[in-house]
Amino acid sequence: MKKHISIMGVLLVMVCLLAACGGGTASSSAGSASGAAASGASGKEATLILKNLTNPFFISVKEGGEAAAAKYGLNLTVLAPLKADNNEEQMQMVEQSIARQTDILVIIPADTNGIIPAVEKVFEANIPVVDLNTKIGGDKVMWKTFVAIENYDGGYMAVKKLCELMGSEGEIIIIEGVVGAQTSIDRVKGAHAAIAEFPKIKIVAQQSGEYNRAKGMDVVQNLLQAHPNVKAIFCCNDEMALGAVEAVEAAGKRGKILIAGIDANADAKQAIKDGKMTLSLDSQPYMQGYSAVEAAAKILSGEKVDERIVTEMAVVTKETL
Amino acid sequence: MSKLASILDKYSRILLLFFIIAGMSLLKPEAFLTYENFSTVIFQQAPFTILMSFGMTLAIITKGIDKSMGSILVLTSVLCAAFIKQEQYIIGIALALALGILCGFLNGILITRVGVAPFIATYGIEYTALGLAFVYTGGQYIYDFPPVFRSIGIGTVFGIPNLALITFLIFIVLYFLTRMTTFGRRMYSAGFNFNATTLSGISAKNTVTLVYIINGLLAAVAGILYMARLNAADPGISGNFTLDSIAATLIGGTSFGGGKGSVAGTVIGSLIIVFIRNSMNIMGVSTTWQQTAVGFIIVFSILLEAATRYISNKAKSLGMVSIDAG
Repeated sequence: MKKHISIMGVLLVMVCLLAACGGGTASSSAGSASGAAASGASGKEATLILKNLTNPFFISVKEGGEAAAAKYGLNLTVLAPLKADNNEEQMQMVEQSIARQTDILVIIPADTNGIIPAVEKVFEANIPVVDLNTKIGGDKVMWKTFVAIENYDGGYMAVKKLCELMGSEGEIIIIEGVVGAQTSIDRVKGAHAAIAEFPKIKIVAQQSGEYNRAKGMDVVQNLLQAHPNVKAIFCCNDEMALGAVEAVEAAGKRGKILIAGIDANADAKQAIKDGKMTLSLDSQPYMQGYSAVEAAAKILSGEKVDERIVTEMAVVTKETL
Repeated sequence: MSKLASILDKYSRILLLFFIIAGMSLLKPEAFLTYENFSTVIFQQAPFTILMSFGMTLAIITKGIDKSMGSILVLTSVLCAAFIKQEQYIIGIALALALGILCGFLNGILITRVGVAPFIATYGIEYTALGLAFVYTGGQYIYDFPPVFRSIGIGTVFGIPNLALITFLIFIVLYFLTRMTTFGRRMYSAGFNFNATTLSGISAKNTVTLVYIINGLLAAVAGILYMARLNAADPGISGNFTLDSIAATLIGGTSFGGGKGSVAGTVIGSLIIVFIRNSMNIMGVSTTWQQTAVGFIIVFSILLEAATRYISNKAKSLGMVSIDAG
């Protein structure tokens, strides 16, 4: 009897493991859709590697990428680390993509510098790389094109609007993303530039919320203790901004503190509609994914693409929704 | 000497917590030493670290480890979130608890019947549970729950927040369970020497399995509370818990050697971690330094444990010498 139980246990676990593998690597294929525009890229293999599939932002990137793949007849494989923003897993995915002989690689690196060794291998294998959203570090330019918003501009645009809504005076808190992430560094730089234009606005605290909602909530909660008179909070992404919303509500200060994020994901838009959040910045992830895969298709069919493709952004407030 | 060792063992953590609080009260009294700050830290932030660390403590007392609790928390919360959103509270919560128990049971079976090392078994379940959570949600957040449900996380009873109350009740139950029942004694005994426990006619296997079932249940409860607090079910939060709960357990004086430790110590350990985070946020210290500080305190508490063991061993050997001489 005992033996039966253990065998059943093992079987059950194996079934679960199989199920987990399917979702674990979060792979999906947008097959060569019928009616695809005829192009030199038709039928070729492209791989899109994301930072994660837990943030709605990257799900939109994926959808945009899949739409472009369908249009140009690319076979697109989308991969994302199971543990969000894990450089090690991303490196393995890059290596697997070389082994699978993908024709082109589109990647959003989770770690600007950590990914370099893996990208070097792709470069040596003569597989073209499209760098999407986050810059690949290093001195050598190993990618064909860099498709992204200007994060500096993003931080600047969002915070400038926020400062105006603050009435050009008061205390502001900045919540950074993952420490060392280039997107966060640039957005914060942009935010500082905007605040510098308002002499009566003072940055009273700047801490990391690791681009994570729960973490953002805890950090803002703690900071509100130290700075009860704060008038606005700028978060480097919407997940942390939504954490800030909960922290502000828990402190009973709803409506008294302006909260801005970046990304304009669905939850954030809802929060803006409900008046819990003030503004966000739509960096149009769908268009980022679309532009990157479109660039990939053009590269594969021998067309020339610009070394830098800037994608558009727009401030989202209650009025624009 | 051995008296010194036991005093050191018993009160050093409380002393450390006291030093952190006293230090911060001197440095930043206006922000730190307020009712709001203490109630936020103790009643809102600490309960999760405490609940998850309870599970880790029980596992480590049995000479195991439970890496899977964070993922079980995620899986149970995302699965019940859909029901909660449709105001099917009882089904949702029952499903979460049942699933937590099932995951814990699988851990227990893998460890005791199949003979997989606890680290490997719970590591496997960690990946499986998280994978299933991603399959189910497609990685999406589930956001915005009805106010009735949220009141679990933010409501109060007689002025005491529910979160703190539930955590306290669980603490009482676990304290009673580990200190005053045969199950508790068997658990310590299984951790101290699994084979000897089995040979003395106690089913150490069942005891250990039950420990992991309790952990699964704790993770599910923490998951439900977390949803109520965060107003979202988030498939990406599992990572924070495992490291924090190991840290809280070690700082709380539970030994990786098994058979030694207590849930009360873990409460202190958790409070130390949460207060360190809070202090550093208030002081404006960067996140990277916060990690370093927690790491430093883990090393410190391991050294402390080694020191106590050294002192009490020395005391024993000295005692033997004096008997010989006498």
